[in-house]
Amino acid sequence: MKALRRSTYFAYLSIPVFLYCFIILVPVAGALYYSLFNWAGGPKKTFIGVENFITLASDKVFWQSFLHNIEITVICIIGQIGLALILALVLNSRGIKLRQMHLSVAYFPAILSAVVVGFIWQMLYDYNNGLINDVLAFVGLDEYIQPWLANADMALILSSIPLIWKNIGYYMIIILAGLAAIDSSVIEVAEIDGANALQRLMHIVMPMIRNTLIVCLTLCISGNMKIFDHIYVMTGGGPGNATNVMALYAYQNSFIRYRMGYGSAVSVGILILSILITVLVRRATQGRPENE
Amino acid sequence: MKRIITFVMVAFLVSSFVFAGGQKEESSSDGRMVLAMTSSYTKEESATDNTRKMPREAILEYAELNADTLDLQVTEFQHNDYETVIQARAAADDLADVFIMKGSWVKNFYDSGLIADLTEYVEACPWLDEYRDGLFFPATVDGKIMATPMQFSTTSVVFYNKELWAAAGYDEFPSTWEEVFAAIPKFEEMGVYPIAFGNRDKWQFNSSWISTLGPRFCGEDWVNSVIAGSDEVAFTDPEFIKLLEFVVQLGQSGLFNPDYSVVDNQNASSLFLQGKAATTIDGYWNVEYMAGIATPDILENVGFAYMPTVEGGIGDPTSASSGCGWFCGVNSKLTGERLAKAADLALYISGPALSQRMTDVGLVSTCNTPPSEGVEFDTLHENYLAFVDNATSTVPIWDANMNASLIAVMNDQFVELLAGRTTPEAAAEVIQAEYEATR
Repeated sequence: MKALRRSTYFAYLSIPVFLYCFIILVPVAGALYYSLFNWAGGPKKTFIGVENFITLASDKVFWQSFLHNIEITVICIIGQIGLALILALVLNSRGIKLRQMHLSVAYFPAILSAVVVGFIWQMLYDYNNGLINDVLAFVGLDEYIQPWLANADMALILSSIPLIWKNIGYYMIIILAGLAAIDSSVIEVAEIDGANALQRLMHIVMPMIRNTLIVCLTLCISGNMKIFDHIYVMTGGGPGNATNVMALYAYQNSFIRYRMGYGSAVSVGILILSILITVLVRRATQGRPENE
Repeated sequence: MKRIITFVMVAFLVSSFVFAGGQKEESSSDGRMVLAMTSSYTKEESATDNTRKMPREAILEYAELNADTLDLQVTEFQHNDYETVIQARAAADDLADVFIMKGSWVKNFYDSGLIADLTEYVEACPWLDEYRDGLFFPATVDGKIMATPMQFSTTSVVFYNKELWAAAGYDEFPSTWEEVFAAIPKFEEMGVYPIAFGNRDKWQFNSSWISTLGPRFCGEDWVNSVIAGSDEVAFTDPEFIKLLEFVVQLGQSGLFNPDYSVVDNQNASSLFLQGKAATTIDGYWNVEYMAGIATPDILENVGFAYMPTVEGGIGDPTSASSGCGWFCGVNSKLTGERLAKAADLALYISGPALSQRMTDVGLVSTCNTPPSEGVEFDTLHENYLAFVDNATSTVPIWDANMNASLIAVMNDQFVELLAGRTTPEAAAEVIQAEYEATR
């Protein structure tokens, strides 16, 4: 077969690169550019240099929102990846029955949009007609009945639970793919050597799916650092700013307060912090020498 | 490597130029003038809400009457999405030729050079004298009228359940807050919330409560000075601090349903209509909402009242915050005939064509239009019309007249005050800082 010329490679590549530039690079460059202006929208804007970033550095609501992103990320890492790992191990075990059905049921919430999930759980948490309060009333635990999402101390955790429910199946599928790649003879040899289930998990399975778990971790962090729609639907960032997150704060600045320039600066802040955290976590997880 | 970087850079530049917008159509193939319009009055929402249906009908009527010379291309967006859509298009300098807009956007759009000056067209309008007083005020900047009013909105209406208040020992809704607070234990005994409240989106408290309570504590002159951006008044003034102290009192009093911070005003109205709450305080839009979902016997039991007075308060006790929150603006890029036609459209859909339709369904609108002969209203609408007629004065709607960023900061602080998470003094400092930054 005749080898393709370099220019043909470039011609084929130009289409995805062109689209990537339009969808990713142009908006990022645009946000960076607009963040240097005092801009309320429209053609008039005033160049103010890095003033928006100086304001951002001391903006309490932004840093509070950043901490909320971190909290949601930690909750989701434990809830989504942790539970997904347990479920994947259970589904991967030999005695499991109706495996396909379990897989489908666990994966089902992942196909729902964040808005639908938000509404479903909003109904569950509802004070007057919510299922949770109805169950509490039914079992006689009336003293625990409360407007769940109005509780500023609990709202963030309660908003994160639907996220766990939604994405657990997604990570489970990824981890199952990682488990499927483990050569069964390795496990069998360990069994013959007398390793119990916990030892097999810790010393064979976990090291062998380590890269899969790192991928899950990266996806979980990047997904939760830019979370918006779910929080927007469930709490709108409230009560007060108790569940506000960075992306919602950028939206509020840009479209509620008409501070497009500052909203762009918040978006750039999200980008920088997300990259920083992802790099730090990857460094931390990939730092060990491969000498096991 | 150098080649690849060059390749990506070229793709970046090309993609940014290619998608950087295009020329808009100014006339159709048959020679008619083309005007693009965006509106927040959708067909779906119009099916159950006359406040959407009537302006939509006025727009369609104008398009039909001018079909020989004009191709009016209307794009409708759901009301809740409209703000984001318009703000995004304004940011991209891509507004339609004619667009429905909020009064609180006028100053920003004016400063950004996005809207056309309609003063000469408004002054030449044949029905100018028919407009209700003060409707053009939020759309007037530096003496120029920048948009036409699309509503007469009363944002503070006390809707009360006559039977429940009678059972609590009140023949009519109390005229003072002291009496309202005194009724709380009675409603607790009855297992009913004294006031159904939904402040999920944060604007509800400001629009329906503060707009009317503000002048009662601070006086109308103080409010007008704030709207004008005067540096002679401040949100740290003692009278405003007193208002904030009252907000804290409201939040701690047990008046509201416990989930008020996570439900919206329609949820609150539902609680009220189900008899789970004795009162709800909302705007005129709630008249249409209630008429759409409740049975006539429930609506017969709904009474209308003015916001109760406060001890030592000032201002008119039968005033209600009213005015126009939504306007029709014209793109500043339009000139000559196109500008004249767009202004004509903006005035037509704002004037008697809208007002007559609204009046005939029992709603108050932009012009003083009497109902058509033979039109009859149900009790709910009759009571609402009486409420508007009997109001001795109107006070400005804060979120229609003040800077949007200031309102957003204020709304956040009211949420914190209602929940008891901040002090009046601290909240006043935060609001004042935003006032100084935005005035």
